[in-house]
Amino acid sequence: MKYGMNFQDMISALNHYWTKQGCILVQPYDLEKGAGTYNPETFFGSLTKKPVNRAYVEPCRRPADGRYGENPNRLGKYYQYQVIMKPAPANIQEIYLNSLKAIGLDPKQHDVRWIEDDWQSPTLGASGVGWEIWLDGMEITQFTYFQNMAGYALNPITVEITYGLERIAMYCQKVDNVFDLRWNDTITYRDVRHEEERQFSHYYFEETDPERLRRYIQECEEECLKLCKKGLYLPAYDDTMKLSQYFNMLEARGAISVSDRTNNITKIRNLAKACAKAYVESVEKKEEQEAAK
Amino acid sequence: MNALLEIGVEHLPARFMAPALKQLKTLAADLLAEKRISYTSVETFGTYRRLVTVIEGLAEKSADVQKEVKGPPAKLLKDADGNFTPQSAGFAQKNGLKPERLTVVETEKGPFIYAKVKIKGEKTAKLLPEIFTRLVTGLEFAKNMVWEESGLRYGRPIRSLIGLYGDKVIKFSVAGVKSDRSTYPLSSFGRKPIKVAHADKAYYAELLRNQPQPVLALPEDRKEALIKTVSNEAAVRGYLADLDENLIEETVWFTEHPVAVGGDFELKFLTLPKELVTTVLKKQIKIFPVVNKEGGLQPYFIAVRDGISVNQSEVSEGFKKVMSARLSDAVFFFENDKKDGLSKFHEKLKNVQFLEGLGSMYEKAQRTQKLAAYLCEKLGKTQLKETVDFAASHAYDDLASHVVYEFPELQGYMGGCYAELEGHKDAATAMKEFYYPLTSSSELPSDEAGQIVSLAGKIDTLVGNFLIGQIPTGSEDPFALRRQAFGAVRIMLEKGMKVSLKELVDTASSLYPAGTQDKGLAQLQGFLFQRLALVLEQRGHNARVLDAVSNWYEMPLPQIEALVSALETVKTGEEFAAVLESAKRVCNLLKKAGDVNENVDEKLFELPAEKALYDKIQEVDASLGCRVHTAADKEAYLNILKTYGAFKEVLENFFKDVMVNADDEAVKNNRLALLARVRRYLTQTVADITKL
Repeated sequence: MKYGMNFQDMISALNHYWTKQGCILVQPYDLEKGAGTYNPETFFGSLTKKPVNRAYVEPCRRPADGRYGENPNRLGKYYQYQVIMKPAPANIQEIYLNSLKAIGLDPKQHDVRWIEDDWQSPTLGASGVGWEIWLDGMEITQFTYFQNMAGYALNPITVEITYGLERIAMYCQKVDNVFDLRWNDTITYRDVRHEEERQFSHYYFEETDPERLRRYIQECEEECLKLCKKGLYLPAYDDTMKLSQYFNMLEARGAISVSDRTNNITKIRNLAKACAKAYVESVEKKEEQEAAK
Repeated sequence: MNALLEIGVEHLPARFMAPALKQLKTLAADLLAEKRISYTSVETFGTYRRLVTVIEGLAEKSADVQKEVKGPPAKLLKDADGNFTPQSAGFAQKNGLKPERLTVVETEKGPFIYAKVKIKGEKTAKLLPEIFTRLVTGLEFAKNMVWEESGLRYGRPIRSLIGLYGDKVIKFSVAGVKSDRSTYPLSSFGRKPIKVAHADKAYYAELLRNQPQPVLALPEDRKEALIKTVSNEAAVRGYLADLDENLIEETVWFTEHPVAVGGDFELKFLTLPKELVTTVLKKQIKIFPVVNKEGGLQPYFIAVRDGISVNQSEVSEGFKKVMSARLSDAVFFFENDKKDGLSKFHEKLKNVQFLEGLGSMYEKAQRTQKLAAYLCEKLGKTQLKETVDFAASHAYDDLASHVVYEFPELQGYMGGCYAELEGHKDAATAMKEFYYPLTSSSELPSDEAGQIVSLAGKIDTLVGNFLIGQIPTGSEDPFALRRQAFGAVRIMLEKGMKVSLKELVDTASSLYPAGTQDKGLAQLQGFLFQRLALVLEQRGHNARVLDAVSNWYEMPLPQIEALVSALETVKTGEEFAAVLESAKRVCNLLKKAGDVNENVDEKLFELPAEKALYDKIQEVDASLGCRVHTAADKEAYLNILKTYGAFKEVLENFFKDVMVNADDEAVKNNRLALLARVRRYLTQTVADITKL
């Protein structure tokens, strides 16, 4: 028997649902990142007063989590579905619960639990308050009201909803192995992604060159700071994302000591702050100019 | 009339709930007092989505009040012509009085003008908007957030407010939310308002209970329902639920209507240590384990859902899946740990820092082992030496294990499990219970080896922290040093260990390498004194009597307790009161005299009373010898304290017959020296009776 929606249909349903809630669909950002929050839409989007409503699928890379495609539950790359709304609508909890219905999970039939979970990202200098949402005991969503981003206290407040797509799909399709997920009626997750998992695990764990990665990290840092000074915060932020990815790769390679780790986290946070500052200043400048007109 | 306030919030963390309701109650009482509105009762209750306050028997108006307002000095009341001065007239006007109504009152600073002002009460209905607003905004949570533009900081967003006075809505607004009479169903059942007609606790609770999806607004109702539903679910399978108190409490605060859903898990997981399985179930998935009558774990679980019991089998499957994944992780960690074994963990401790500048956990284990060995010897438990040696040197090994890395609360327990698996059954219990007692009143390590090892570990930790100046202050005690010191004292007292705190601390500090920094070890004595006083209090003593035990630091702990008990008995006696009187007199005299030695010369005695006192002192000194620190029990101390009685007469006679401040300097000094001997006896040798 065929249970649940196909993987791609679930994404389509979420796209459809959130478009109706007034979100625009943006496409994944074309750089490696560890979580959807890193996407510039979320990072910069949360920082100003302007309303921002976005929905997008975001591939996330966690080099250390790869298992050569051999573990039924772990992936080095997976898909998050990310929604950000600013200001957070007053009935956002209800809107979220209805989105579950849109992908075939009726909250009236299941146990939906809101468990305290305050999110923070030391690398982005960001933190938020909210919950992880459990469906019948399984964590399916992270629901966060951002409070700080890159050290800035935020107002208005952005709400971020992050769905773990594979987990939800596995639950709906009643499969125990992520690679058995139906992508559509004939193609599985294995067909699409297994070789990628295998090769990248091999690469991240055995083939990366720590020296080269350290060099890149240094170059990214220099480039980022240079660009920030010129007000080019978007390309500068690309360098921050890259640096963060190289750092994750070093960690997966086991080439990072404890103090090294702390230093690199501080480094990334400082770059993220520099980008945020350049952005906020440019927005303020624009506003001043418009006011002068 | 009654009033009702409901703060409708998004799911508050369970841990915020009990403190919030307590605060709400105090806050309400304070506000009503401030506004001078009388009432019969305030009650607070609710769920993690609705915080409710019901005030019963509110007066319709706040009370009138007479207030006396102080004005300028009395001399400014009238001028030379007998007219009111501009100052007094202005003061009267400001307070709404005619100047003739002003009065003059004598104060400490002379006479002043006073205005007696009557403030009229206001209608409660008019005061309630402010009271409700401040009740809502006055709440503080352990952690706060912002969600809308007013920037109010709160535990979670406020989404609705009910303010009722009788059957009328009291209008107010907070953070953009306006009050009305609407509450809302269970979280997953939409936002169709439920109208609350009037302010009444029983009615409100009933209204929510009678919804198609009932909500149990009273926590006691939820607790009862929870225990019932979980127990029934276990009974269906012929077993019992492990009704863990913390989990019950937490579940009461994260459900609005607890409903059990049972399920089973694979038998293979039962090969894991019991505590490991129950920790995964309770802490990670928040579900109840199932046990048989003997407490043996069964392959079943009971999850709790919020409010609904449809689709049970699918929900149960979901929980089973999650649990299976988590327990598989636990198996993976446990199997890896077993492969590594204690010896490998032990090596790893070399890379785990104990405290900044104080070396590794490996070295800490070595010190603990030495201190434990010393204790074994000291307490005459040489037959335990091997067990104690093993348990102490491996007590910290599990800190390097995968399982403890994932589940820190299983420290100690896991080490014991691994020791058992490696054939060290004798040391297993000592290791499992190494961190006992876990709370101030919970169990101590159950076997002797465990008590010795646990005590050694705690003392080493305390000494280390004090050496680097990491000393608890106020509410700051991140390393739980108070709890550890309390535990150490309890073990020594309750297990009758004849060893003094000084000896333990000195031995423990001598085990740190020479040249180790010392930023505050001296403060440990006072710190231990406070814990000792608290433990004695917990054991039914008057902790202030401990102040009189001058030598507590050098005394074995059971002896301290025996002496304290004896002092408690003695201090109420009449004879004792008389000695105390004389003792105080001795102390005062000597205080005035300044520096006094204790060299008494019998040849300088002029009166029999001097000689009599001297003989008494010699006699008791000789008879006491070193018994003071080693008397067997309370009876023995009572016997020692009887010697005080013997002083009553000789001291009284001495003061009656002898003039201490004699003209002859040598005689005077000799008398002072004699009294100094007496003082030492009455304030140092056994106890300082002047502090009783």
